[in-house]
Amino acid sequence: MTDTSDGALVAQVLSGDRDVFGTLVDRYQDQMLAYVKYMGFGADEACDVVQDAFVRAFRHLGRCGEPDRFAGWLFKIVRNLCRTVGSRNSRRRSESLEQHSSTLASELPGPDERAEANWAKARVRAALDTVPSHQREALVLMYLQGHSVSEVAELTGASRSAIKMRLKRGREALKQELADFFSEGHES
Amino acid sequence: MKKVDDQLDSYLSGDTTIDELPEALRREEERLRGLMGSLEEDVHAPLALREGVMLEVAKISVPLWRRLADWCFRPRTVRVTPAAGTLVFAASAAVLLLWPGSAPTSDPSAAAGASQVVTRFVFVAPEASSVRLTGDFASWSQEGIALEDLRGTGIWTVDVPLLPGIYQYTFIVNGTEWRPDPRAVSQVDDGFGQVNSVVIVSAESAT
Repeated sequence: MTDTSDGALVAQVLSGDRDVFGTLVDRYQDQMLAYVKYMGFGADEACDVVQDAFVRAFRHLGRCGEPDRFAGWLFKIVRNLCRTVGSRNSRRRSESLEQHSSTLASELPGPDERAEANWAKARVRAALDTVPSHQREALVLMYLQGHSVSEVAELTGASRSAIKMRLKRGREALKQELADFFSEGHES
Repeated sequence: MKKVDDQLDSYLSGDTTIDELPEALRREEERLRGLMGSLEEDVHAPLALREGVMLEVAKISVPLWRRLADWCFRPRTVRVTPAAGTLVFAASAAVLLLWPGSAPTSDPSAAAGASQVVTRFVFVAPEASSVRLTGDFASWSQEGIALEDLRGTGIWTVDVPLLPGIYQYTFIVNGTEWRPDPRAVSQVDDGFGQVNSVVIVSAESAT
């Protein structure tokens, strides 16, 4: 079953063998969960989003126009759900981010208290959360999930030039937030 | 707006490698990769996620017509003794010969059952070579229900028996193009970047 193409699995599910859908879940749950977590969702909320996306995918599997590209279709459902849930929580998120940013310097454990790597990671995480979601998404898909600009464009439905612009703006935003990491004297 | 850096543009496009970037830009890119890479984690979905999905999937009911169709058309092995098979054949032949009035009616409204309402769907597409209807009542199957252009005028129609209720649906033109019904009473966002049409079938509806 592991070698079976997505298209063949989708066809089996559509013909009534719903247990086969579990193979598609096994195949893509980690990748989708990683994306949702990188986009700033907490572990529990990310699991809820991915679970909801798979259930929606099952309900509407007949609408998957190109079954061999099930992953891309599923990604769009995940992405839409992230946006829906994200906008629902936007007020809460922006409030917590403001608090987070204002207290970051004083409250985050410093290098003396914990390992510097963890401290840097927390800084990067917080900086990424301040980047507008479209730019953050482009950065995540390229730098964390290893997609090319063309693949990001296809996944998000945007043009290649739009993705490059988002990447450049996202890089600039990160550079500003993490200016000390980009200074000449800093060693990562 | 800041002018786009051509070298960065070329690098992001994959036309050049990181080593071909100017020194400062290369160091900046390496630093960015390092920082982003620090967020990378080996994500493994908990078992509960898969279990939750499959539990929900199991709860999703398949419409009765679909189950009947599956039951009728799915190949299966049936073990019958020669004696039982002969008896069933003889009994069937006797019924057909002695009770011809038992032949099923060809009247679709009678077959639909008294509580269903025959609902007409119309889609105008003179350029189409095929139009199909899919929706809640067809499990959103891509095959859906075929419409017919009986007069070759580009007006495609089909009558579907439906129980009273509210249904979402859409048309599939030429097998690939999903199009909402411009004549529908309402359109709703389907959450997948497309629009579904809505039909309300009441017990008093006339076709």
